[in-house]
Amino acid sequence: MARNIILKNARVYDPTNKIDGEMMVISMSDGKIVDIVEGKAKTVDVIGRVVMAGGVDMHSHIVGSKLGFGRSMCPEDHRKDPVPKTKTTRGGVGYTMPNSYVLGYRYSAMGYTTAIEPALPALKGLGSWEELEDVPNLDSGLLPLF
Amino acid sequence: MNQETQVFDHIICPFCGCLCDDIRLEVQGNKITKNELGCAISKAKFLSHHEDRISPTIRRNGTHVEVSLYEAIGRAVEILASAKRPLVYGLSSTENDAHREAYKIAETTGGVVDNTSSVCHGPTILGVQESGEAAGSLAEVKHRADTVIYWGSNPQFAHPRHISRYVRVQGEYIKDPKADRKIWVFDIRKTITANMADEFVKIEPGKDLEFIGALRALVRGHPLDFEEVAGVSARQLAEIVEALKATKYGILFFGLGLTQSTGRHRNIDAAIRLVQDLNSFGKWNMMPMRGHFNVAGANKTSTWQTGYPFAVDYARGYPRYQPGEYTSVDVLARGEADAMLNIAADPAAHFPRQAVKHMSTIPVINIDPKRNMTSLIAEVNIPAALAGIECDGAAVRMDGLPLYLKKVIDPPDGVLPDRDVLRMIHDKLKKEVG
Repeated sequence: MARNIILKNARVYDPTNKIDGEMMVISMSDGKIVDIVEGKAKTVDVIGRVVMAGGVDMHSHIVGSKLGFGRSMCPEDHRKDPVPKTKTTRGGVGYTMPNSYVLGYRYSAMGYTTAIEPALPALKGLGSWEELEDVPNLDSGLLPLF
Repeated sequence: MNQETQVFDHIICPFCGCLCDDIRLEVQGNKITKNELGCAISKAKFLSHHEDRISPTIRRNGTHVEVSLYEAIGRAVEILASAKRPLVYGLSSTENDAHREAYKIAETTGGVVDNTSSVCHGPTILGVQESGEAAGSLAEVKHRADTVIYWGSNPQFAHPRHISRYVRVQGEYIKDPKADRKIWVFDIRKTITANMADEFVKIEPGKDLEFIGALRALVRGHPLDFEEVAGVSARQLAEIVEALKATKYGILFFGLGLTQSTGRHRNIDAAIRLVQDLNSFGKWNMMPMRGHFNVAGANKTSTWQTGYPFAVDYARGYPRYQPGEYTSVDVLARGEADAMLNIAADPAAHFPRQAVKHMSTIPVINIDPKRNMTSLIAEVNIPAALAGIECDGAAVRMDGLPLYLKKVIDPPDGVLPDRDVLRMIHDKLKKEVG
């Protein structure tokens, strides 16, 4: 990632700072939002797209053997939404029970950066950790059942 | 040289679907010298780890010529890059991280990726896709089951510690595992498991579906107007149904006697429905007796990474699933595959003749720790470390429990885990085909 990034034509939504759809320039340096960047910067024109803090889904069943049961049981469901691979993304299936890659990509497309798995059967923790490895782009947490 | 003996406790045995996790090993230098608690099969696997190992070879003019690992990988990449319809197969005897690389290779080449369930419990998965599944853990069986059924399964041969670990053992709610728990065996012949069971029911070969149908009818209170079904008398049928209905916690373990005999996935579909019916009277679960130690893991990794449990095709750039079309035996028997990457399995030994005949006409890349029938006909052989002995990894037990396999000794010089070999193949392949 470039050290300095400037986003032009960003439509910003930031309720904490009472910004409600204002067209702004956002400057970032070393992964932090700053007022001004020093030196060379990579400029990205986001042409009026929404720029907001990443969404946090507090409760979303994204990993676990229960998903495996669901996915495995309905191949006819997956056939309704094939997702071809691209140069940078893996292929998969969508609709009700996407495969792990498509899950991550679609959350990203909706603006989420965090999704918390709320039902980890503690004894099967290892399985959920492995599966999380294949959910791209998201920060996550696993809440154990007890 | 006086070598110290290292002791390893609670090692997980990487042989069958039991994944026994109480093995005690003694190691001297880099050799396993003792295996306590393991069954005969477990002892054989651990104590003979150094035997029959393969080296990297490429077959030239009918002879397997020893080459460097990198040369073998290079040739494997050449084969996969130029193939129109590669088949990636196996996975059931290696750990989960290796599977990930196999799916990547299938996606990059637009090939098919399949695991051994397609010749084993594939019909179980088809049955579940039809009717659902009543599933539970082996721990629940140990602590609660008062009726234990083995149907078309002979654990005393194939899963030797299954009964002693999970059935003929005291549980939280089963104080006397002999008196409070009954073992039933349903099979076409009196196996050694049947000989030590409490009850044995002999079913005529190929008649399991009728038999289950009859049981279901009686369980649901419909009278039968037959004198006998599948060689079992109406009186015996009534006794069986009475025992099943009186069960508080029942478990149906089943094997290839049900999945690979006449009826196949229809047998499993019927068995699932029977278990569902029995849940009106008591608590019932069912469990396939998985053969290889990580075939359940292959189904799991395939399902979360591709969406489908086995028989996955990437020809269109996204995963497709169709048993009968993308199952390995069919892809080979139809002469469709023009190259094969075999990982941790022995298809030359186990596949039907027509499939093996085709295998012998296409370039086969074989990744395995040891010499086997497939290694004899492979064009490229690449050695791998024994997962659960020479490298770590995750594997899944027959009831879905993921377990962490430990590394106990080093692999032979220059031998890498499957996941590393496959990663090297994929990285090189990606550069060539993009």
